[in-house]
Order: sequence, then structure tokens, then C-alpha cells
Amino acid sequence: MGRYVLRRLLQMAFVLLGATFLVFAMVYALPGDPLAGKCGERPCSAEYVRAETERLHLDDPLPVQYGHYLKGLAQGDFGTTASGDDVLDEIKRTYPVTLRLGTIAIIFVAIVGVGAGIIAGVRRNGLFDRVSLAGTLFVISLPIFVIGTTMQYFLGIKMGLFPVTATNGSWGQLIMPGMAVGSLSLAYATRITRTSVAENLRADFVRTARAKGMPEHRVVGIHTMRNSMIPIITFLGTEFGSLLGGAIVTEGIFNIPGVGGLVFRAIALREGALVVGVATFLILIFLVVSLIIDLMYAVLDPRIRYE
Amino acid sequence: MRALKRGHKVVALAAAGMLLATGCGGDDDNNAGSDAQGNLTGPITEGGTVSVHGCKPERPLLPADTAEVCGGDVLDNVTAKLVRYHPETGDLENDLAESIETKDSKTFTVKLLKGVKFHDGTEVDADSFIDAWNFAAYAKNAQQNASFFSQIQGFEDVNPEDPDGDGPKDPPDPKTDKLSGLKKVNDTTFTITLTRRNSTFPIRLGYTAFSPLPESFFKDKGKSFGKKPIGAGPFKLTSFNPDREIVLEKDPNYDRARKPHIDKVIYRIYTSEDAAYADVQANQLDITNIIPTSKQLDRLYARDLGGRFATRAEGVFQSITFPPTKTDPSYSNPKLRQAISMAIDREQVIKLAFPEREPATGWVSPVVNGYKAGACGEYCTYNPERAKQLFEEAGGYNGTMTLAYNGGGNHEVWTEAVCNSIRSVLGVECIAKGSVDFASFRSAIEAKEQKGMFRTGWQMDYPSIENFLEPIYKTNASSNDGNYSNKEFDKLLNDAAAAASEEEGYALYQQAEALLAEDMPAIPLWYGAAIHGHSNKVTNVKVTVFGTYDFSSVTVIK
Repeated sequence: MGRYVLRRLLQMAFVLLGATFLVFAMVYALPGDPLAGKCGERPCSAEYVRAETERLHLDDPLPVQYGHYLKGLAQGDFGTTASGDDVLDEIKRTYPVTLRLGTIAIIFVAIVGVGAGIIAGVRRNGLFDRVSLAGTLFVISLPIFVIGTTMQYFLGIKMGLFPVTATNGSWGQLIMPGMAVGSLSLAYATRITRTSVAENLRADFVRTARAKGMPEHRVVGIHTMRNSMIPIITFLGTEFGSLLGGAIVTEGIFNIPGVGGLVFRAIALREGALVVGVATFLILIFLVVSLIIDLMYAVLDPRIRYE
Repeated sequence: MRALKRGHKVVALAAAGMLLATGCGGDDDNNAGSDAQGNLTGPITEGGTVSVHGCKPERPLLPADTAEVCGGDVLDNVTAKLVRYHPETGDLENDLAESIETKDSKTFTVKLLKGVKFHDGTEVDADSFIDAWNFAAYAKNAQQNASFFSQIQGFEDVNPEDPDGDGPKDPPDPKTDKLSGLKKVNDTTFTITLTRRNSTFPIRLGYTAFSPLPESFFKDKGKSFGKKPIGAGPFKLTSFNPDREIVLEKDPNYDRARKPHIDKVIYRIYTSEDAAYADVQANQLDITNIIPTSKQLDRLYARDLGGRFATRAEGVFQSITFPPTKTDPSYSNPKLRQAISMAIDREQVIKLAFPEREPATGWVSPVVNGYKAGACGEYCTYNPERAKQLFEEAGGYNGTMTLAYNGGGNHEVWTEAVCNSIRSVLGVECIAKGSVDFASFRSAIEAKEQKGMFRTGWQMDYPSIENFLEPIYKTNASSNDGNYSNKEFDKLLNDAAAAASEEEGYALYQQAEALLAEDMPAIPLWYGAAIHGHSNKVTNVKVTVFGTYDFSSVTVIK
């Protein structure tokens, strides 16, 4: 296990390096002057251009620029934005909010989605199964923009049940956006769980357990569930990973001060340092999350061993 | 998000997809908070907190380095300047200045009010201005608004011109870091000397860049100031979280005119105008001065908000600019330009894209003194027959016309409509061409590489007829995107600036504007108007001629 983790960590370093270089190259090799449009209708003053060129090493060839960036990164310096803010500070400020949003969404998915999936799987072809099948099909077909603005309009503006936007990013404000962003995963989670449970209920060990006279709740709750969890955990894990990358559309609709909005604004304003910094951070997060998922397989299924 | 440049807000707003969010009107009929004369009609209460739609400042909050609305709006309420603009009319009023006098329109003597203090308790004196302006103009400080000081004597010594524009050679080092045109007489008096006569000079002194700065600013060259600006304005900044909110509180020591009734202002940071709008709709945000484009179609906002909105004319001008002849000679014939202008059915396009705007009849916004309607004459009226006739006299056009705009800024609809209008009248192919984003759009224009027509917009820096002509159409002016040059026009502007009286000056500016109709360097499209919505918790809500919030009038309903 230790060797496996070490190997994965080493791989991660290379993936991180390659991925950040790609992002860096894409941001700074974009056609057009990165300083253009910074000063509105009139061209920027020569001194401003000079100061910014120096700050961003724009005169150097791309690999040298990247070298400067890596050097900073190794020292924990993610760079600074045009407004003089530290990129790492910006991430620290916005990240807790995205983490909260992702957590609410994934809890929502885990409870409602997986719960519905188990019921549907156990009572396959029953009324609940059919209704949830139709329901999930409907939800999957809706874009998040529609779900988000509809919830915002009816639950927020018309009924006043939730705050309309989440400008503070507190737990309470994030409940509705969390449900909105989770609703798509919810549909998938229900379907995956249903299939997985239904399949395992026909497995030999379940039949054996039943034959031994084990009560039904133990048969489903322990024997079936543990074995059904692997695809579900994989799904929830990757979903959580991508939620941590920021839900740009949802954060936009509900004005959530999270990482998604940060990235969106950074791209629109051509804040290269911010785009690359946040991307680097997100790649890192994703790599860690996927490592954790892989390690969890071994916990769930004793037959899986990592060497 | 707004990549909005103050003073050039329009283009930038557009970049953020907000430009078309300002519809037009000019009538005050819908103003729930005030009657037709602009008097307050709601009950006046003291105290309370008002939350408003804000956006994330792009740069540190330094007055001379903030050229976009997000930071500029905040700074304008924190800082005080020598003069301010009447929120309703845009007229000039003294603020920190007791008087600004001149005999020759070249040297101005400024007397300051005595005993005015910055929020940190230090006194506002002549040095607060002289040091601040020297800092702003000095090239090495690379302040974005440095060019605002270019009329003051000695500017080229502190901010030498780059010999080859933006080119490979660096500009020479400045000879000095002090503007020779600024002289201290005593603690409360100083003089400003200009390089040449300009009677309209004091009008610009209310712009943010001319704010005085306290001594503490210079200790670290504004580093800590950028996060917590200190001014002498009605509000002081008490908390600044650039992702969530900026909080201003009334300065208890502020006792000059336009004292606010409210105690606290919270700029809530929004990334989308739709979210802010939804909050206003639900009475969870008090005021937004931007109505989303989607809500302007069929005046949806009127239904959504009931009586909780108002519109007013603001100092914004929209146009289509022709490329410099060097870049693209195919549009160089003025008759062709006039033909294109007359082929555009402005009323129709406005009706389609933003029902409340007012077609432009000239190059100057109606909100400023000196405005004269109809400067463009028949050339800005839709007239297919005459357009066709002019088009033929000009020798037609070979190939396809293009109209460039920045993508992602809600310009698709109206540029398409304008092209349709041109196509159907002149029988020439016209394509609206979107670029990826605002930055690439502007960089092509600034590099003078943009072929074909392109959209332009102007938001005034200060309410003056001069601000709509000189920076955009004077030879080599900073925002002269079409490289327009007309000696007679330049001379008229210079004469107007040096005129003995305001009226005389206005007449000369109007003569200059009339020349634009003959040359047609840019086609006037329409004038801007601000629409704002508010919650049921506030009353007497108004916006200024700049489209910004007027915190001196708004009150909280108790």
C-alpha cells in the first residue's frame, strides 16, 4: 500500500507539471496583447505597459516565463493579480465557499440520490422504481441553468423559502444552490445505485445469506450494500472532485463567491496569473481526490489489494 | 463581472455584457422616488443601511489608478474633490474649493475650505493636492489616469512621451517628479498653470483622479491605501472584501452640502447582473443600476419590479467608427460614410434591441451643457432614397462591409440589425463580426489594425461638451480610434477652450461638432440612459448623470 501511494504521488508530480505547463502556455500564448483592453477606450500608458511587462516577464520566451512561474510556485508563491492581490490569498478566500457548496451538494446526492436508488433497486419494477426512472430522466435532460434559475425564481423570489443569492457564502445561503448543483448528479446516482443494488441482490452470496435465515434488512443493508458501494463511491468521488473545481454556472446564477466565479472572472479579465494559479490548485485537488477514491476501493472490497 | 473602464465605461461594460443593460429614456416619468423636477417625494428619514449592486475592483483603490467603474464608484463616495457635479443636472459645484478663480483661463487660483479633515483626522491642505497630483502624473508611478494631468504645465517633464508610441524604445526618464504648473501659495491656496488657455479646465477637477491624498498615502506609495482608501468624502471605507462586499460608513465629521441621510452603504459584489436583479426583485438587495439585457426586452423589468424602477438620461454616446484610412482606405470617402449613416434605421434597431433608447442626432450627449440637438442634421436621419443617391455619388462599395464588435457583450443583436438595415438600403453585403473578447477587440483597434467599421462607445469623464469631442476626434487624441484629423476642427476646439465666456466656448464647440457631420468619422447611433431598480425598503432613489448611485438622496423606509 505504501509503495503504491508513493508511486501515485510521484506520478502526480509529473501530471501536475505537464498540466500546469499546458494551462500556462494556453493562457500566455493566446493571440493578442495580454495588456490590451486593460485601460478601456484609450491605450495604456507606456509606463504602465512597462511595469506590467516586467511584473509578468512578458518579454521573455514562454519557457522562461514558465520557469519564473515554477520558481515562484516551489516557494508557495502563486503570483499576484493586476490589482496587487496574492493569487493564493484569493484562492484561500474563495475556496472554503466552494468546499461548502460541494459538500452540501454531495450530501444531498448521497442521501436523496443513493437512498432513492436503493429503494428502486430493492423494489425493482415497482411504482417507486418507475416514477424515479421517469423523474431522473427528466432531470438529466434539463441544463443546470434552467434548474438553477427556476429554483431561484420559485423557491427564492416567489416563495421566499431561501435567500435568492449566496453573496456571503454561508452554509444557510448555500442550501438551495447546493441542491441545484447536486440535482444532476442526483439523477445519475439514483440510476447507478439502482442497477448496482439490483444486480447484487441476485448474487450468490445474497442467496446464501437469505438461505441461512439472515433478516432481510441485514441482507440488503450489509451484504448487498457493501458490494454495491464501489461504483457509487467512484461516482460520488469524481463528482465531488469536479464540484471542488467550482460550478461556474451555478456560482454565477446564485452569485456565490467561490472558485468558479473566480476562474470565470479571471478568464474574462485576462488575469493570466489568476487563471494559471487557480488551475494549478484545482489540478492538485483533483489528483488528491482521485487518489483517495482509489484507496477506498481496498477498504470496501478486501479482494482489492494495492502493491 | 465587469471589465469596466471608468470614463470609458461603455465599452468596458459592453465587454462584460452590460452595455446594453443601460437602456435609454431621458424622461423621468417613471421615477418613483422623485417628481418631474427631481425633487424628493418620499419621506426623509435619517440613518439606516442601503445595499447596492457592486462589482470587484480590478486595481488597487488609488484615485489616479482606477479607471473602471467597480473601483471608481466606491472611490467617488470616499474621496472629495475640489468640485463635484450636481447629481441631477451635472452642474459644477464647489466642494473642497472655496473658490477657483482665473483671469486668463491659464492660471487658476484655488482657495480651499479651511478645517476640512481626511477620515484619518489630518487636514486637507494645498500640499494634499499638489503631492497627490504630482504622484499621479509622474511616469514612474505608472498611474492609469496620468493623462488627465497633461494640460498642466510641466507634464511632459514628469511624463515624457514615448518616441515611438508603444514601440521598442522606452520613453526617456522623466526630468523631474514635480509638475511645474502647481505652486503652493499658502496652506489653503495654490495655483494651477496650464500649458495653454482652457476655460473648461475646472470642470474636470471633480473627476476621481483629482482627489487630494493624505500624508499617510506617500509612506508606502499607496500600498495600504489601495486596500483602505482615505479621503475627505461623505463616506469612509470600513471593510473591504473584494469577493463579497465593500462597506462604507457615513463620516460623522462630514458637514458640507449633500450630506447623506443614510448611515451605511454596502456594495455587494456580484459577478452577474442577473443575480443582482433577482435579489432586488426579492427585496434582498436595495438598488441595482444595471438591468439585465434579457429583462429589457419588452420592458420586462417594468412588470417584474412594479413601480420600483426609474430611468434617466446619462452621459453615454454610442457610435460606429470608421477605420483609419491607412488601415483600410475603402471607407475614406465622406459621402460613403454619410450614406451608411443614412441607411441605418435607428428607431427600428432601438425598438428591437433596447426599447428605451433615444436615437443620436449628434456626437454630444444631451446631458451636458452646450449640447445642441441635431448637429448631425439629415445625415443621422433614416432616408433610404438619399442614402442610395449618396452611395452612388460616392462610387459605391466593392466587396463586403464588416462591422466589428466584441463578442460576449450582447452586441450581436443590434450589430446584425444595423447590418441588415445597411444591406437592404444600399444593396451591399454587410457582416457583423464578433471578436473573442473585449481585450482582443480593443487591441486590434489600438494597434490600428482593425479593418472595416467597428462599434465604439463613450462614457463621459466629466459633464462637459468638450469631453465628447476632444478625446475622441482631435488629431492624435488619446481615444481617437479612427485617426480622425481635421485642422479646422482642432483649431475650433482650441479656440473654444480659450474662449472668454462659457457661451462663446459652447458656440465654438458646436461649430466644431458641425464639422463632424461633413467628415463623418463616426456614425452617431444613440444616447445612453440609466435604468435602475430598487427594493421596497428604500425611497428617494436616484442615479446621477453618470449613472452612478446618488447616496445624498436615498433614504430608508422605516
